Amino acid sequence: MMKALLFFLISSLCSFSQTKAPLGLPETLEEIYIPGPKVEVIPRTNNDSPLVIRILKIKPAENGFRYDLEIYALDPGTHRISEFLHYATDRSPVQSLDATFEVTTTHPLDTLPKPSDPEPVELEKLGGYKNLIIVLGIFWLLIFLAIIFYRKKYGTDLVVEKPLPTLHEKLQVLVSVASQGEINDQQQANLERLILGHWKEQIPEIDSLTPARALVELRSHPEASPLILKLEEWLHAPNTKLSREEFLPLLSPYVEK
Amino acid sequence: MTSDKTSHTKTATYLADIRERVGRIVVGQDVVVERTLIALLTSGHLLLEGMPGLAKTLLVNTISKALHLDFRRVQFTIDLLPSDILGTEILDEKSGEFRTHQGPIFTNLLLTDEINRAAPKVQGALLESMQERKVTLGAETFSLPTPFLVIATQNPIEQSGTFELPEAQLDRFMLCHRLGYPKPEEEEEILRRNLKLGVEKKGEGAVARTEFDLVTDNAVGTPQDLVDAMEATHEIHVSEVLLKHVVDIVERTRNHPDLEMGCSPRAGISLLKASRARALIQGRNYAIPEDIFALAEDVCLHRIRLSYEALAEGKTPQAVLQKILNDSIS
Repeated sequence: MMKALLFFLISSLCSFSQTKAPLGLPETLEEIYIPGPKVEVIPRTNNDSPLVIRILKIKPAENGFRYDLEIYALDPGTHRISEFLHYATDRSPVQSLDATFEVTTTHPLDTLPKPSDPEPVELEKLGGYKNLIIVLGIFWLLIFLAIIFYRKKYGTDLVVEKPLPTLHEKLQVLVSVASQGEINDQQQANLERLILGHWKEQIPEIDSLTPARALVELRSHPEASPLILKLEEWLHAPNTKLSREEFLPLLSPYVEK
Repeated sequence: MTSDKTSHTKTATYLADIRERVGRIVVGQDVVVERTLIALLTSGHLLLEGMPGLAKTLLVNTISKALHLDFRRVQFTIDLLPSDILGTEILDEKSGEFRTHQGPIFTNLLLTDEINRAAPKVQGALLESMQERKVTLGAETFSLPTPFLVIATQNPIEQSGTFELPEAQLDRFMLCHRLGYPKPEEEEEILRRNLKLGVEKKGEGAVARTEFDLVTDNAVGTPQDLVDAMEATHEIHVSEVLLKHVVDIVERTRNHPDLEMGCSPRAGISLLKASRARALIQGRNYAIPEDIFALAEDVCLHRIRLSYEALAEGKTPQAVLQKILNDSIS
C-alpha cells in the first residue's frame, strides 16, 4: 500500500513538473516516468517544430519506463512534452504525461529576430553543354574550311615571295641605268659598292679578307684594279678628265654577263 | 693649279718624313702612326686599346719630337683629382695672392695612360676640356695650346678597379684603335735594335740605353708645315657619292638587329674627317671608299653597343661591324 502511494506521488510530481530553459540551449530532463509501453520521439516533418527532443536513456520501471531526455528549445513559450512523443508500439499519443517545458528569452518576444525565409535561387547551368560544344565545333570547322579555301584561292600571291635580286642582277640594273646617262648620286654609290662587292666575290683570296683589307687588295689587283681605279676617278676625283662616255665601256662586260 | 699640286706634294712628303722618322725608332706600328697623324690633322682625339709594353709612350714621344710639339704624360690612378690634370690656384705666400698653376693638360700632345683607372669626375673633366679646348681655373678661362691632341690608353684585360668610359664619353674620341702585338719579323727587329742600344756613361757611372734615348729633338719640318698639312686636310675633296657611302654605313649600324646602339652623327662626321686625313697621308687629293672602310672600325666600333640577344649568342661588336661592312658591298 505504501509502495503504491509513493509511486503515485513520484509519478504525479513528474507529470506536473515544469522545466525552464533559455532559447536555443539544451536542457536535460532526467527520470521522466511515462507509464505504458516505450515511447519514442515523433519525427519532425518540417522546421516549425518548437522543440527538438532526444531520448538519451530508457530505464524500465513498474508499469512503464523512466526516460532521460535532452531538449533543444527553438521557439519561446510553454510546450507540452507529450505532444512530441508517441508510443512505439502503436504510435498513439502519450496522454499520461503532463510535464511542460518553458522556453524563456532574455529579450521581449516581439523583438526577437526571425530568420527570413530563403528565396529560391535558380542555379547556373550545371550541365547540358553537349549541344553547345557541338555547335561551337561546327562553327570552328566552317571557319577552318573558309580559311583553307581562301588560301587556296589567293594563296599563291601571299606565299610565294619574290627572291631577292642577286648582286649580279642589281649590278646589271645599275649599269643599264648608267649607260642611259640617268644615274644619280645614290645610284652611283650603289653601283660602286656593288662593283667592289662583285670583285670581292670573284677573287677567293680577297673574299676571305675584311672589307677594309679587301679594298686595298682590289686596288692593286691586276684584273680588278683597272675598273676600280677608273671608277674612283670618275666618282670621287675633283675636276676629273674622265668622262662618262670614256668610263661606260668599262662596264660593258657586266651587261653582257 | 700647279701651285696647289706642289703644295699637296710638299705636305705628302712632310707626312711621309714624319712616318719615316717614327719608323726609325718604333717598329711595326705604322697604322698607329697613321691614326695619330689623322687625329692630329683633324683635331680629333685618339683612344688606344692595347696591352702594356706596345711602345705607346715611345710612339707618342717620338711623334711629338718629330713635329716639334710639347708632350706630357699622365698616369691615371684612382686617387687622381681633376686639379692634377687641369691645374689649380695656389696661394703665393710672398705676395698673398692666388697664382694659377696650369696642369699637364696645357700641352700639345697629352698621353693619358690607363684613362679608365681614374674616377669618373677626372675622366669627365678631361673629356670636357678635350671637347671645349678650354680650361677654367678659378675665375679665369684658359685656351689650350694648338694643336691639342689627347691620346688615351686603355688596357682591355684588367677590369678590376676601373671605371669604364660611358658611351657618351667614348663618342668624344674620334678614333679608337686596338693595338695588336707586332708580327714575328717585327718582333725580331725590335729585339735586334734593342741589342744594339748599348750603355750610356754618365759621370763616373753608366746606364743601359733605352729606345727613348734614340729620340732626338730634331723636328721634321716646322710648325707651319703642320698648319699647312691641317689646311690641306680640309681641302681634300669629298664627293657626293662618298657622302652616300658614309651615310649608308652609319644607317646600317642604326638598323642592325644585333645592335642596341648604332653610330651617332658625330661618328659620320669623324669618319669623313678621318677619311680626308687618310687620303692626304696616302698622297691623294680626294677621299675614296678605301679610306672609309679602312677607318670604319676605328671610328665606329667604340660607338656601337650590342643588344642583349647578340651578347647571349656570343657575338662580338667587331664581328657585327665587319658583317655590316661586308653587307654594304654586297
